[in-house]
This record gives sequence, C-alpha cells and structure tokens, in this order.
Amino acid sequence: MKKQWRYSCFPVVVIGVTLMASGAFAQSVDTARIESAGQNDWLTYHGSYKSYHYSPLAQINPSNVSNLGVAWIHIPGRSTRGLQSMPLAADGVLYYTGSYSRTFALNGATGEVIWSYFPELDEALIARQTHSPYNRGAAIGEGKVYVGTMDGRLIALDMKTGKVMWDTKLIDSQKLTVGFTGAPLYAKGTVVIGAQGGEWPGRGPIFGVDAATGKKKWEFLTVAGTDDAIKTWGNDSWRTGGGGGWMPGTYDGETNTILWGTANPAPLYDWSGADYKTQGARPGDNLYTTSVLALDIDTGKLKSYHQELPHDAWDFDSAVGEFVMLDRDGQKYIVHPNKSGYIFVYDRNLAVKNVWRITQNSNFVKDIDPKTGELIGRRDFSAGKASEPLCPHISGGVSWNSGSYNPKTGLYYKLGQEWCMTLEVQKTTPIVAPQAQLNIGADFKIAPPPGGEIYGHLDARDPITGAKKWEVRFPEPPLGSVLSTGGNLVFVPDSRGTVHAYDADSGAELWSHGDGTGHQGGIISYAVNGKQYIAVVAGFGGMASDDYAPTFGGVYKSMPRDDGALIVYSLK
Amino acid sequence: MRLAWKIMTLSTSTLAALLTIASLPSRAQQPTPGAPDNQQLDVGQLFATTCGWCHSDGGRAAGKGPQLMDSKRDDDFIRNRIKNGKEGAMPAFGVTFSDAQIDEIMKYIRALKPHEG
Repeated sequence: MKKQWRYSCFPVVVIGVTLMASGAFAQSVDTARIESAGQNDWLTYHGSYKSYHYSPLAQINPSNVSNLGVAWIHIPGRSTRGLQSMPLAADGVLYYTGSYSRTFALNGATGEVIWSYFPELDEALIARQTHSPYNRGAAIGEGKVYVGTMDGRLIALDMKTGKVMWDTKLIDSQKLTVGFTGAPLYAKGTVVIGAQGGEWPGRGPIFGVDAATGKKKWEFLTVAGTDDAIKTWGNDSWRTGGGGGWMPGTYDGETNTILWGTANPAPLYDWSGADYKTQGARPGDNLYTTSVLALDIDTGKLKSYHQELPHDAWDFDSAVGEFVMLDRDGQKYIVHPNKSGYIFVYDRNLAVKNVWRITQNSNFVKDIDPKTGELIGRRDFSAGKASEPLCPHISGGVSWNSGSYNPKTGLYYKLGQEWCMTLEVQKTTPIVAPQAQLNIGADFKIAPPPGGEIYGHLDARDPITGAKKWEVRFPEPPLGSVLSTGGNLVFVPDSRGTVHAYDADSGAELWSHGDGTGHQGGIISYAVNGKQYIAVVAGFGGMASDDYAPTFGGVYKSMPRDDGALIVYSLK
Repeated sequence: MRLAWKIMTLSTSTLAALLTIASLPSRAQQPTPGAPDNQQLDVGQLFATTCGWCHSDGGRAAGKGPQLMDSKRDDDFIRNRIKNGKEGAMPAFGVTFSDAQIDEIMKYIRALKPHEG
C-alpha cells in the first residue's frame, strides 16, 4: 500500500491513499438521495432522514441467517473508550470514525483501506476532558465526509481521497473544555453539528456550516437562545449553562426544517424542592434544554419546539435518539425517545400526539400526560439524601444509541434499561465559568430497581401507541443501536459482545455471534455488487459502560476499554 | 456529616468558578475566569460537581473509578493520578490544580468515612 504524507494549510496527516477497489466509485450524495434512502446504502447517521435505522435489504433473512459469518474485520487502533460510531455506506464504500476522530474509507466488500485520516488534535486538552475522546460518526454529502473533533472543529474530507477540504474551528474548546463527539448531519448544502453541553457552563450551541466552504452560516444557543428563553432562567442562572445537542438530529425536507434534541441544564441535579420556578440553582423551565427543536436549516431560526422535561432535574436529555418520521392514517408523525425512557409522539409541528413509556422502573415523575406532554407528579429534590432511589439511573431509561422502525412490520424495536440510583443532592455554588470539569450537583451510586435486578430489554412496539408485541430480556442493558431489515430480522449488538438476530415478527432468536468485546455503537446494513453485509462496531468504554465492571463483574472485569474493531458479516 | 476541606490559596483561573459567591452576576456582568486567588474551595462540593460521577457517593464507593475511601494506594500514586490522569479513564487535573490543592483533595480522600446512620 502506498503511503503519502500530505500537508494542507491545516494541521493534518493523511495516511495510506490507495485507489478505490473496482466497483466502488463514489457518486454524488445529495439531499434527495439521502431522503430516498437507497436500497444499498446507509447515507446518514440515522440511515435516512426518516430516521428508521432500517435497511430494505432482504438477502439475509430467517431462512439463511444461520449461515451468517464474518466477511472482514478492520482495526482502527487507539480505540480509547471503545468504538461508538455509526458507519455509513455509499456506492460500495464504508466510511466510519473511531476515537480521536480517526476516519476511514474502506472497500465495503473486502475491508481494504481506501484512505484514512487522523486529525492532529489538542491532546493536552483531550487529556483534561471527561466525555472524550470517542467519536460517534460522520456525515457525507457533496463529495465530502464531515467529522467533528473534541477540540472544537468540524472538518470536511474529500470523499475519494481523504484530503482535507476545509477545517473550521467552531467553539473555543480550550476555554469551554468541551467539543464535538456526535455525528454531523448533512442536508441542503448545510452541515449541522451540536456541541457537548449538559454538564458545563456553556450555552450549548448548534451550528449550521456551509458544506462547500466550511463557513459558519448560523449558530443557535440552546441555553437562553432567545429573549423569551432568557426569562426561564431566574437570577440569570443561564450563566450556569448546559444544553447542547450532542447527538445528530434529522431533516424534514417538506418544511425545510432541522429537528434536533438538546441536553439537560447544569447543574444536573437541583436543590430547589417543589418550587423550582422560583427556587434553587436555576429557577424556571430553563429553555431550550431537554427539548426538541425545529430550526430553519438555512437560518438556524427557531420555528417551534417542545420541551420534553421542563426544568429537567434528572439529567434525562432530549439529545438522544432518533426522529422516526412516519405516516399513519393520513397523519404525519415524529417519534422521539427521551433519555428518561418516555417516548414522545409528535406531529410535524412538534405538537404532542402521544407519550408512552418503555421502562418498567421509573419514578422521576408519576406519569407524563399523553395528550399534553405535561409532567405529572414530578420529583423535585431538596438538598440531602433522596428518600428512595431515583429511577432510571443517570445512564437513562434508553441509551443515546438508536432504535429501529421497520415499515414492513410497522414495529419500533427499541432497547429499554432498568436501573436506578441512590442520590444525595448538594447545594453547590454557581459555576459560571469552565472549571475542573463537570457540574453535577449530587453524589450518587448505581442501584437495582426496587425489588428486582438490573436488566435490559428489546421491545417490539407500535411506535404511535406503544403497544408491545414482544420483548427479549438481557441480564445487563445493551447499549448499542438496533438494526431492522427487509429480511424480517432485528439485530442487537449486546454489552457482553454478542450480536443477536431475532425474527422481527416473533422475537425468536435465530442467530448469534461473539465479537470478542462489548458493543456500544452503531450497526448498519448495505450491499456491494449484489451482496448484503451487516457492519457493527465493537469496543466498550465510556460514561455508561464504565459502570459495568464494578456493577456486574463477570466478563466485564476483563473487558478492555481501549480497544475496538469494525466487524462486517455476510452469508458464507 | 458533610466533609468540607477548605483551600485558602488558589492559583489557577479554572478554579475560579468553584468559588463561593453570594449570588450570580447580573446579566450586564461577564463571568470572570480570572478570579481572586484567595477564595475558598469546598472539596466536598468538588466531588459533588465533578469527581463523583466516577468515584461514587463522594468517593465512598466504587463507580466507574475506584473507591477512594480506605484506598490502599499511597499518596504519591494518588497525587500522580490526579495530576496526570489515566487515558480513557480519568481526566488530568495537573493544569487545574496546584500541588497544594491536590494535597487538600488528598486530605479529603484520606478522611472519608461511611455515612452515619
């Protein structure tokens, strides 16, 4: 393999440029193509703008899935905190990222490296960061691959060669101590990316960047980003910040709108007691944290929003998960999970149409009104020890990874997590400038649900009503994404390191295979030259999975937290 | 009982935001990254804001990071770990805290006791 060292005007190293394998020629990826979600490709983080995490490919199906085996493996190296990204596939080429924003283009049939790109990062800064150095994926469009970095940059690479096309510094990570871990979204000439934010005293910006030039087009502040929103932070507490949009949203082409979820306010836990509107660390609703936003893609202007948890006092972001856009009986819906385990169903203007819950163990509220989305019986803590464990645990009722909607079965396949935590809220002094790192506001410890054990479950449910058709349980909550296919299969990469394939109608397990380490990232399907592949990232470590060794022991005690691989399956 | 070790001398601007202030600044004021060096740091609060996500229950229980209460590690090891971190597991705080401040954090760790009752 030929090695070339290239320098542009940016600090960059491009390694190993080779010609693409035959049959793998990059064509134009544009908004229309991502919208239509071609049969053979996976063109954006959520699969397509519809956000289904579904592949129509049916070559692998219940009749032959037992013959599924490893086609090829790729090792990205330096997988600190494992691999957490969602691969992409276009025209026979697989693109994916690893820790430190390492980016690869591989021949989708053979795994041969077409190009790789290792950005030169501010390593001293990254050593200071808590939620780092993992990367959760890239975006593609207009002949480029877009990837964010932990030191606050968004970089565009030539899709064919890996050469840097532009490198734009969007936030002052040295000052804020946060950067970008989430995948960007490409749509209509704009690349959208959201910063980390929930635990830090910034204002959680979401950026729109010109895909052609790298020039910033707009910036929306998720903390007090409008005059109305500032009024929802009593005592100027917007200065303690939070928010951010650390996972990718999606694009609604009919309304020219970006849909994006935002993170919690800081501190995570408030001592306000019941009168949170006037008391505590951040009196008020704290807009636009823990909300779903509809932003004009061209201007970044707020068109509508729904705050899923007003005055979030539990760290249950709206930044997680997919925006499933589906039609039923003439009504257009958006289905979006909140980290708490409540699933919100909206119309396209973000009016609440239903709310249902995937978890069994939940007590941060008594319920959420399915007609209005209003929280009923919320638990707002005072300083001191909580009388009973808070459910779910800070890692959420659902992971930041995504579920899958299968339009053939009409079912939504989603993982739920059953765990709780003891909590002692502390009245802390306001943190209005970046300091040591986080702003939690409590001591806590993971705990089992009342009267039971921690577990996870894959549910097959109606996405609108939440009616459950079947469930599969796991001894420890799986943290990875779910894939469903036109071959009537549902794939779940679990935490122990096994990939499972289930019958999409019944939940019967049809196949499994060990990947050698735990999963906490993406899984996709694509095709090259008429052959279907399943690609999954393996590699454990991070804010949720680091709890597994002390909590569950067993295989997690020896599971590395600095290793990972991309594993690709096909029929033997 | 809440432990509260106070540090009287701060030398880094990044610690400024941990300082006890009577109220938030008005909107007209800007946050002051470079704050006075003689304010107080409550190490118990430091655990409640930052350290406790990994060192559970204020350092009394294992979490993502080890239990710190009754740690068998010697002072040099703990001091080095706070300063330099561990890739992928613990941030490096050597830029954030002075040696004297790290010593105060260690005093907190060494004094940790189970909750009463």
